[in-house]
Amino acid sequence: MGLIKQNPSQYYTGSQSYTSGGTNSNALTWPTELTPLIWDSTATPQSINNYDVYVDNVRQYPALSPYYITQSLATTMASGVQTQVLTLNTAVSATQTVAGTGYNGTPANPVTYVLIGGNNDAVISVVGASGTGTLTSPGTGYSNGVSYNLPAGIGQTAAVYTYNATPIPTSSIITIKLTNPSIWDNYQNYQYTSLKDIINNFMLSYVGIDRVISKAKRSEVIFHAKRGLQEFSYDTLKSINIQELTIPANLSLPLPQDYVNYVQLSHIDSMGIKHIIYPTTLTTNPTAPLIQDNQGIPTQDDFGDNIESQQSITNENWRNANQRNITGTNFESTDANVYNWNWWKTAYGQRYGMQPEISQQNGWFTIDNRRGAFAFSSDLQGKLITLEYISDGLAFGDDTKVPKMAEDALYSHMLYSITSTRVNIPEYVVQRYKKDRSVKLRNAKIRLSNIKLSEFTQVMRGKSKWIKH
Amino acid sequence: MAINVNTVYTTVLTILNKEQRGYLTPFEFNKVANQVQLEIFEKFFEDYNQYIRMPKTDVEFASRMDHIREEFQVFEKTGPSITIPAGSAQTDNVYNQPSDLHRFGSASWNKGVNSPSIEILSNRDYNQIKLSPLTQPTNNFPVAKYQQDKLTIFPASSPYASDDVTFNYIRKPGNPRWGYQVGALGQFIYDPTIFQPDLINANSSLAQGLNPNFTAATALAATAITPGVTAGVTITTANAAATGLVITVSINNGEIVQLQVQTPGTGYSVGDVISFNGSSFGQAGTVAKCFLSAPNFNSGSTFGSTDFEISGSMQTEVVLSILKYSGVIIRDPQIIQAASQELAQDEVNSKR
Repeated sequence: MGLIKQNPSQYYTGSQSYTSGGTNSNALTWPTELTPLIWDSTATPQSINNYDVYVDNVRQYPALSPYYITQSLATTMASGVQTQVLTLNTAVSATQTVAGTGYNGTPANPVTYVLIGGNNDAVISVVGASGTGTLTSPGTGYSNGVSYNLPAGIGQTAAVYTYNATPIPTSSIITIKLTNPSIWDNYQNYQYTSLKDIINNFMLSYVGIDRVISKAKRSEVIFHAKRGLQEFSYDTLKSINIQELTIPANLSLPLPQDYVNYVQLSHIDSMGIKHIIYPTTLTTNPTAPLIQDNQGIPTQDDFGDNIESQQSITNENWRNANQRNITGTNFESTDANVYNWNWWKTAYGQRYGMQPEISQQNGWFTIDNRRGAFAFSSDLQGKLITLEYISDGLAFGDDTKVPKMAEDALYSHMLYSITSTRVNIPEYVVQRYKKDRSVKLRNAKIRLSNIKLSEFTQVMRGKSKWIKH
Repeated sequence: MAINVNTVYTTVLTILNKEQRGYLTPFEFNKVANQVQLEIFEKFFEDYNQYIRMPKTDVEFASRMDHIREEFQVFEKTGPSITIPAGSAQTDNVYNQPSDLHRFGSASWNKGVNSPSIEILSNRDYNQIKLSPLTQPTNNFPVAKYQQDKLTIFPASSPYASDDVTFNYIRKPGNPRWGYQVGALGQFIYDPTIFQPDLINANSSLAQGLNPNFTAATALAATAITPGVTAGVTITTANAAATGLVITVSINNGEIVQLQVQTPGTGYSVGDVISFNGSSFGQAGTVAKCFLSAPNFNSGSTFGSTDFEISGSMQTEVVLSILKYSGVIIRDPQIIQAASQELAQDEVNSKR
């Protein structure tokens, strides 16, 4: 069995087409090969669901005339197979066109009557003596725009309702199409394998009688697989996430939810070119900005804990600092406080030459560990930045993706980690697995570095190096 | 292929009688046969464990591992958990094991994609793994505590159903039974019908349940009738689906003298009543009734046989083991010694 489950149409379009049943309700079974549908009826459809409904290539959101489709998604799991059935219902209503007399229903005690016609199964809940009421069950076999009577007994005159329903005709094509983020995920899916599959493969091929590990709990294997993935994520896997953000007036941005470490922060100019924002040691972020009394003693609250200021004065001063005074991008007549060359300020040092560390105008950032946020220098306010950071790859549980180029390295890591933590395994065996892990990890790094000879030589041309190829 | 219980019993009797050592009654045989089958059955798993640790071969017909697996594969089953009482709803993540489970093998979780197997943990291990965020159970990697014949499965995810979990297990073999009826001379006649507790005894007589009988006096030749089908014969039964009973009726001197079961049918139970309208049998104005009682069914009689479930390759071991116990029953040390020696030799050969 091949690894590709989708046909080309499903892969490229992320969609499935159906013919309508011609009724007010169409139950559509979503193919298991495709990314599962997500629908949260309590949320705004556009913000949560990952698919759109089209009828004859017309997107049905928001609810459009003539179908006014409402939908519900049922996901069931039986014998390890997940089935999703999307039910599309077209709007049905009944409007009273002729008032009757003698009906018993009241708002407090509505009485149900069946509309005479169709398959005699559309139900009106009557709340008034004239037969006024609402359609509570749409029934089947009724025609759009046709009038039907409510039953009338002795002493009653029949109320008449006009039935309004427009089922999607059998000649129409209903298409369910995944939205772009889901299709994009799908496109790059084949280069990855899931952590779940790696664990299952490892249990199958490495653990058991007559195998290198005769017995191991699956929990132990899961632990080492996840730890391995964490380690690989830091320096081997291409798991860099890039957020595009604008720096607000308070000059700080919270750390991303799955942040482990930053790779690079850059601000983006009008041409889309990035300019690296460097971290600085010129200032710091106090973790405990204490409130003191006039003797300099920190004050405490009723619980005996130190009272801390909401705002650090160091941070405040840094935010208010004129960065030109630091970088030296001033005219000669202006003081640049830190590196001032006036004769009475010699204690600050003299400017004999440029200091590359501070002589740049891209701005600075620090990490404020008290607030868990990046803090930026004032010259970056309102600028567009990109935040490149690494995560540990475990934010999404067992479905975490692992590049196939690092799959073997991960198996070796798990094998080494498990054998090295056990007693009674000969040391030469452990060392063998250690070397094996090292070699495969290096291979994985080289593979994922994506070094292509043609690109390499192109760079070297600029360096006046001749590479024969 | 199972071992025919009659073959074993007659072989044992032949060996015992040849030596003029005594007689093993069917009752004794059935008890001993059950004991022997369980002994051999339990030994499968000990042998399997030993073979796993011995050098192996993959040559066809020579692999002891394959052979022993073949021996117990007939007892291997998969099935969902059960609810107690039967038919009630599953309300939590505690699942009862199947009622016929003898040895637990593994369990799989049907709420995970492709039904992943459930890792069974001790309470202590479970308490440890749930503390680590890396090892907490998920639907893809579920875990369970196995206590009090129940699996408590994590993660608990509502709604619950008894088929959320599938057990893979070994069931206990059925008790072998040499079924019989007593002949006219007091001899035991083998009944090859497969034993079912609620099956009417095949070829037995129901005449003792007649009350009242006919009172008129017209003779009638033996006639096969089907209650509920044949005119004038009705049956009152608790189970509407009961069907298939065919009996032969003989009337003499105004009374039903013979009610011989020809085909036992299915679904009948104690308390069912077969009514004979006399007008259909030349006995106008009178009615005969036959009440089915416990001795009319396999469970309340000696009728119905069950073969040994272990495979035919174990037949010699079964016979020898029964002989060994027969020696104990009839107090003959020679039989015990001879049978034990043979068994020991077999054992040595199979483990060498």
